[in-house]
Amino acid sequence: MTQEISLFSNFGLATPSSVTFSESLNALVGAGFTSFAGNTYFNTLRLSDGILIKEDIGEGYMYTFLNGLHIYDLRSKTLLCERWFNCHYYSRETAKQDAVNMLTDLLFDAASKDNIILDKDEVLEKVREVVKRAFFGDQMQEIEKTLKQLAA
Amino acid sequence: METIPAILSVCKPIGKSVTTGTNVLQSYKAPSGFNYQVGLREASGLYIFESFAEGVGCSYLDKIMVFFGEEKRLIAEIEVPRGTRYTREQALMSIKQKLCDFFYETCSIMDVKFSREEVEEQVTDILDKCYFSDSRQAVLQWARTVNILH
Repeated sequence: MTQEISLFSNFGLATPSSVTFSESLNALVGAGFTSFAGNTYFNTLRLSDGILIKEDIGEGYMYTFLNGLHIYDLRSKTLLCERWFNCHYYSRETAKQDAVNMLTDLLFDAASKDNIILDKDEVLEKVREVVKRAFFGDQMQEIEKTLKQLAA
Repeated sequence: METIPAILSVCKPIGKSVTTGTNVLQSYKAPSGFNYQVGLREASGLYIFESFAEGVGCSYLDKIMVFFGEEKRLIAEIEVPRGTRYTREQALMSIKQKLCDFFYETCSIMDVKFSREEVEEQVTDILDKCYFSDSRQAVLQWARTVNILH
């Protein structure tokens, strides 16, 4: 875990000692914070093909909410896109869909500013594949792969 | 957060905040767990100072101050409503609104004619580049590495 922790602390995304891997969430999970109201807030970090997806999750008595999604490019250490949600029930599937939408929107926006023409269906399919791996692929494998890529 | 004018003369970032894209000038971690930061962005002679608080569950925008030129004259001071979440889009919209309003007001006082659409377009363009050009470049570069872009 030490290598993974140093990876995220370099990105300023986590307190070094606070990241652990959760098998049930299939993601790296940061230290949580429980409010006076009894709600617990925590972040998950997911990797896939050079991007990092950070979910801000709030867990209450009855429901779990997705509070925010941030997507970063690992190589350039750049925030690609971010979004906050209100009363957005959490499921891995909806979070995946939100991430796909955010990433494709940014990609089309960037391409149009540079006069690059993209095939909408092809882009959507490829982005879906990448994001799907972040949410449903083996994250331990992705972490190892990413560490190798970044070290190369 | 009142220290912004004081640190204007120093202006040496202590690091880049990956989570917001600003050059961080000051940061303070409160016992509550919130990390209070003052970040700087530069765009066409504008110095944009953003104060925000980064927590585990969410980040809040506190205040934005915009200065202009070498002398760094204050041209906009934006207090955002309490509980406003920090996004670049939110910061950009607040600055755009304030800058355009200030410009229209000044022009009307000085009896200068201008096109509202043109002013708004130019301000949007400057701020948009400042806030999002890095992300656009990075996403296109990433798209090339994963063969989305050929």
